[in-house]
Amino acid sequence: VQVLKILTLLAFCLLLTACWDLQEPGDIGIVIGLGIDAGSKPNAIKVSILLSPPIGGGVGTQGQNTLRVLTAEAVSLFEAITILHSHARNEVFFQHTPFIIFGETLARAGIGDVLGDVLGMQQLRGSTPLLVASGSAQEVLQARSGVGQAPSFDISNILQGVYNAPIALVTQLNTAINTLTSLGSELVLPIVELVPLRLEPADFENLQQQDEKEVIIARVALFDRDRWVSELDPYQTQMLVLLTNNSRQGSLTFANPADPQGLMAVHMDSFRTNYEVSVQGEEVKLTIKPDAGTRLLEIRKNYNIRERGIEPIEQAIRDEITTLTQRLISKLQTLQVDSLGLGLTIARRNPKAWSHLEPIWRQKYPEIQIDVMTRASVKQTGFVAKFFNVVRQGDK
Amino acid sequence: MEERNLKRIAVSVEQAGISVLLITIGTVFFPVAGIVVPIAGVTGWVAVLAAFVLSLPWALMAARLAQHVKANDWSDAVMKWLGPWLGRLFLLYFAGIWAVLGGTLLLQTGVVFNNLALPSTPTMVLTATMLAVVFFTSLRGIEVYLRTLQVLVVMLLPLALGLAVITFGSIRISNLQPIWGFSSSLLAHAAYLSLPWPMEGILYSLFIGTMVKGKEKLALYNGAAIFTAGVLLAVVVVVNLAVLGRGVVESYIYPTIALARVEPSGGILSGSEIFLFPLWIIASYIKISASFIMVVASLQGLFRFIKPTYLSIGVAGIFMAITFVPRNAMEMVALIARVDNTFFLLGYLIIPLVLLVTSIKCKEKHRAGA
Repeated sequence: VQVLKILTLLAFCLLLTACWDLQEPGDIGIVIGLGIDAGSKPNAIKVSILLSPPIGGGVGTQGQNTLRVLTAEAVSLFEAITILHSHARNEVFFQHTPFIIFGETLARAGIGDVLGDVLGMQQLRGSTPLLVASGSAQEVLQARSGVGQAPSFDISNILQGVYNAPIALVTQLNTAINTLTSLGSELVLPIVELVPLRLEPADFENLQQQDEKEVIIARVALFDRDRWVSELDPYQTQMLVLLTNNSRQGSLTFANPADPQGLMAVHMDSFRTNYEVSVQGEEVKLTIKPDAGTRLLEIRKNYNIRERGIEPIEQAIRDEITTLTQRLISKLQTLQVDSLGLGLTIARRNPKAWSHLEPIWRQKYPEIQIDVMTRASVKQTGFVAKFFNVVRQGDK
Repeated sequence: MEERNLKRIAVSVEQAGISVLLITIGTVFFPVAGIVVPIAGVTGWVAVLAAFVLSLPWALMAARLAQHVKANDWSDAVMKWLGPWLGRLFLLYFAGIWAVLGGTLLLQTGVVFNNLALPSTPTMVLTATMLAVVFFTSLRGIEVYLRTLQVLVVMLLPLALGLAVITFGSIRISNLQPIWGFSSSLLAHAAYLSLPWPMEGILYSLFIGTMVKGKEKLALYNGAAIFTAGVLLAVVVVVNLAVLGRGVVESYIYPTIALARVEPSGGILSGSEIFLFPLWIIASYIKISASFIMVVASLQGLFRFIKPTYLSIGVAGIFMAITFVPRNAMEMVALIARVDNTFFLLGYLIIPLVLLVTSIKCKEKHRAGA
């Protein structure tokens, strides 16, 4: 009887030996980039996948020939994926998808519905970064890599670099869902742009360089709920990233306090922004307090640190950060998009006041008084005693 | 008499405590955040903790009832508390609620694993396999089940720790703010919905308590187990919120599944589901086996003429039949919620009543003796 019981249990185990779910690694198509564009018909979407079958060396220099971009148009994401299955000739696998990119037309029309579809895709990770393409997402997936690897890895590498340099804001799928399912903050997604391929890697055979494009990320798209309404230039992007505490480092160039014809540049080693909220009835007052610890890197034209000291430089840094912050706030208030998440800050600090403000936040946001109080210090000046200055005839 | 003593089940108070803790947590750690957060927001964890703290007197009552009786088995204990007719009624209620819960949890095991890992494998194969393991555990008896639990704890700890380590890096404290920003009525509503979970553990503690040898510390272990389960489930809600954020937690029936998918792909920890799959299977096995064993033990008191093995086969049939009732995941979750919010919640009324009846009977006995 004991043996019979054990055999019965083992027999049940046999039922689980992947009779149904057998998947050999070579039989799945690993999606290393998912692009979603607006379709050619109303309500239709065009789904593109960058596929890397793990056959013949996988992705990389040797695996370039195995990379394929497949596209299908359908009225729903799952219908498109079903069609893509037949194109791919094996099961497409999304668990290792490193990013999702939305085409410009779709992003400007609204990505809310498609995001809902994406949420239902159980294979996709909540940590998957979202991006928008300046143009078509399909073209981005078809781009070449500038450094001799799969183009999607270029995007992944750039996004990883974002944590050290504020060139864009990484918005993950989960963050997008949290942002769109509540009021008080707006979506900000990095813009992927295509530029002519600058390098000609030796390992690309028969490459027609003049037609090839590679990807760059330098700006962000501002969303009003799920619609792309405007964008920030690289300098404004840096300020937004720093003010939302998504990066602690950045760079700043400002006029030389001793000689306005010249410039100074600092690296911001530690940038932190605090917010102070004061709500009295419907009267909202916000104070943004950026605090930058900097390292002096460049001085153009003359500035003698020993004679003038550090204080004028620190004051110039404070003024510059304040000006940039005020310009950014002004732009965001004019656009009526709360990309800094000021509403969310109020909701977290003063939930009772937020419950009254939430229904009128859209009207209230452009009018609220926002003060900027910047603190800045020069922590290091390096070992340069006197910055380089060309001596000319007639100089003292 | 000697044979009877040999057959008598001997459970240590430590074993009982561990099993109460594990069964109270059960599979609740998967949906808990998805149930309390939509109502109480980021203060959902407070609601869970409050419900478990509120239920502590009932845990002590269950221990008191178990201490009150010397019985050969569960049904014998119930008969001694309530007499033959009320006792039978109570056994029927007990068997009924655990059968429905156990059967639905059996289906849930299959549905979740089917969605998580084996989408092409029919759910029925998964549920039948789990049922087979549960069935054979039941045949081996409660002592073997409890010893199995002790082994499983050793397996559960590194799995839970692994999942915690992976999710730790994704914690955003700002997701937990405001710490206190929701109305007390919403908090009370969320706490009310959380009340059935400790009651599941308390009813099990009532069952296992009757078999414990040396019941002096039973109340302490019961209370500690229920409170610890409450703290751990509150921590699960906090981690769900801190990592995923409110919007994501509210989007899923089982937000804990999404927890294992927060690591970026391509990273060293991206295969973190490996911790989640066994955690789910083990937790399901623990709860379903306990339900199965309790249903069989209760029905044994009602149908003593049926051999335990045949009774187990019958119960297995009932469990399997229940898995066919809900047509989809939403109906399955609704059925679990319905059983929890009606019949298990009724436990808060029934346990004090049983204690009252037992006390009255005890006093009458003393008076008659005097």
